[in-house]
Amino acid sequence: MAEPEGLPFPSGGPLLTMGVELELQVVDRREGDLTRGGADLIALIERRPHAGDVKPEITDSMIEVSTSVHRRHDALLAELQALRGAVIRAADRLDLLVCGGGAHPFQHWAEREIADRPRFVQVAALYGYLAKQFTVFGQHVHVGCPDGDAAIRLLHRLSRYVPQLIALAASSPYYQGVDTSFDCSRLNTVFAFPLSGRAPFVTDWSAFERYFMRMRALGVVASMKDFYWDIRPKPEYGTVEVRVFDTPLTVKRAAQLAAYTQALAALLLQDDTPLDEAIYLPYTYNRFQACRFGLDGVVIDGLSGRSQPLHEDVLTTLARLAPHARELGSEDALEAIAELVRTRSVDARWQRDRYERERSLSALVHAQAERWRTGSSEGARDTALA
Amino acid sequence: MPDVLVLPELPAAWPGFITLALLIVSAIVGGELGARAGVPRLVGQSMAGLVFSLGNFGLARLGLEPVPPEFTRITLGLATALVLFEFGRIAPWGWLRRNVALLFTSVLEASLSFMAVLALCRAADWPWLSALLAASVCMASAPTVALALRRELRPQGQVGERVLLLSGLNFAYAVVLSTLLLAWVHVDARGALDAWVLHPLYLIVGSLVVAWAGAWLLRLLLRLLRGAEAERTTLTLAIVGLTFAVTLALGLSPLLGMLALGGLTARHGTAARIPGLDTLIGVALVAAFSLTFAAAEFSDWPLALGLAALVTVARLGAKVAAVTVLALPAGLAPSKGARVGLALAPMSAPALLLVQEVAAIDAPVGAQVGSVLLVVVLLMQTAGAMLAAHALRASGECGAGHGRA
Repeated sequence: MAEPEGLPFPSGGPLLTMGVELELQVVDRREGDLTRGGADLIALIERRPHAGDVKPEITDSMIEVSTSVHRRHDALLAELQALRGAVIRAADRLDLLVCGGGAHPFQHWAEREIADRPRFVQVAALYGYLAKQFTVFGQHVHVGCPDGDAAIRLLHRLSRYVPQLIALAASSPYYQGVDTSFDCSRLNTVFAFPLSGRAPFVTDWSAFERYFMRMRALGVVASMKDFYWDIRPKPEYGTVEVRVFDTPLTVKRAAQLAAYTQALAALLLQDDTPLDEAIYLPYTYNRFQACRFGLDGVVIDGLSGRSQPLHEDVLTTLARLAPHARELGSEDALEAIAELVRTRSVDARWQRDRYERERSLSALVHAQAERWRTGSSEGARDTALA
Repeated sequence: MPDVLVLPELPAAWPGFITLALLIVSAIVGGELGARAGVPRLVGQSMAGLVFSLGNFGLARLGLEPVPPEFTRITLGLATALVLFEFGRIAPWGWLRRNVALLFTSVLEASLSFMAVLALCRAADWPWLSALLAASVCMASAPTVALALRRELRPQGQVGERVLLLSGLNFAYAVVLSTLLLAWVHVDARGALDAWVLHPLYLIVGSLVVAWAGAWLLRLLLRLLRGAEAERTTLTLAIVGLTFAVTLALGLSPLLGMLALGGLTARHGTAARIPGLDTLIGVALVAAFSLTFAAAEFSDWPLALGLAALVTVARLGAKVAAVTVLALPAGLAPSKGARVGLALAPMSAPALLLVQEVAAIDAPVGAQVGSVLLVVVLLMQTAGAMLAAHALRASGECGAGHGRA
């Protein structure tokens, strides 16, 4: 559909609402490899009324599920659980497994098939092999903003916290059959796209609108979807969309990360100090630290110049978020995040521990699928051919 | 001047093993030519065997002895055993627990093909025993063809997976039902009424017990050999051979035994992976396809052709109708269900082995059933395989570079 003239951002919408999109792996039960099954899976799910929404993704080994709009963490989690149930029931009937994780541990990208949708075919034509390599799996969190100017301010202020969000969600240590040594290898794939990274430093909505119109006039983009930024405004929803999370291994973790982002937004929308582009000076360095070392990465504050480990940074932030969490009803979720930081029990660590135990990436995928199904950290011993 | 007379004289007749080697070489070349023409390799390989069978007279004029029948029988048996073992390992048996509609689909498609073929054979004035045997064998699709197409086209998706499951199930039904009918042959041939109960029970339960013992031994030893790839492959081959030989020696069903051995081994998933087996399966498939018709007698084919053509069409129609009708309850679009039905068309060597088991007990019944089924298998191992390949490609499940055979 053609973009309207201009890029209006709705004003006066509900503040601090949230919604979640999760890209999920469609896996063959026999070997644990990615398989073509997304279209059949979606067709079967759509036969019955279900929570949320289910859509195809760029290759037929992926699907995307998304929730409706929520303000409370518990309601969001309930919808995600219902959505997970619908997906699992359909997958069982088709003998498929579905799991989280930011990257499949051993799939070969060249074997992927681009899904038969005009937009995906167009992306594949433009980006060549990058399109198939884009078979990586992320969580996107939308947060409702009162207007376009607030959305732009929130976007820039959130960028300071991007390393935290990457480290908390990291679940792609294995890629193409090897341990990448990164906790989050997925973003290295995304970084290959020319329109990835951070949004331009414009400080209000009208400036952003001018930037977008100019890029469209130049033929660089056709719509906002062509920007693969870490954080981007989503004017048609009236939200800011945070896109740096790997898809977690459980819906519970997905809802906790959304609640953390929501509380951050609540904190940052109250900040009325002027924006300063200096926040972006260490941006790619901090991003690398988070991807490579997870919560043990050391990040630099672009404004104060202070360095500290990410795990300390998250705990400090959590203390500032406490009043907002109380107001938003997400104290339990944020306490779970604090516990995750204290115990370093990120998904990437669970994946490495699991692989050490089984010495099989195929067994790891089966365990991830069982963890997605049950939410249990133990997962299945071996569901292959069960 | 050197004395050339020390060289030995050329033999009057070249041994049959040379003929066999030439047959295999021809099969490989035939397969490659087939692939370049866009048909599955197995079609070219089967045609090479057929040409050798029909050209026996020509071979004799070249001084080539035919392939020793005993050797053909044993090689074909072992190759089929290995292929059925691998098929049993990869077929998604556990799916039945998660989608009961697939079991209904399987029962319906097998029953409909059984009834269609039975009706045709009875209409052709066949006696009940022959008609029932032909109908039971025709329930089966070809695990060998399903496996070969899977290796060649590498389908990923619902059509390919359902073909595997339904082929495995209808083959198992055919083995069990023809085993029960063999008991009938026992009654007719020997008059031993207790064979109605004891013999089938012995055949089915005995085959499963031997398979279970083989699977237990294989799993046990594979656990000891983690990482030793060559030894794991050799061990697997030895256990397959052992189970095959024991079922034969005890008068059990080696076909059922091999399928069960594969299924029971695969239940242990990733821990039981044997990558080295892959090449051996490829060798076994070439042997199976090239030898299927190499020793066949086609003397009665003009008489059998009409009935065989009707049986082929009726069987295929029954399978397509059943799988299409039950596609939606089984979670698939009817158009894809129809493709699954088409891909169940192939029949191959295991069906002929079933007929051979009958012929060993009751030669006239075996000859009557065999004359028609040989032509049906010929059609379904070639045209049927091409139809199955087309159905898989049309489903969109064969990736780029694998879509052409």
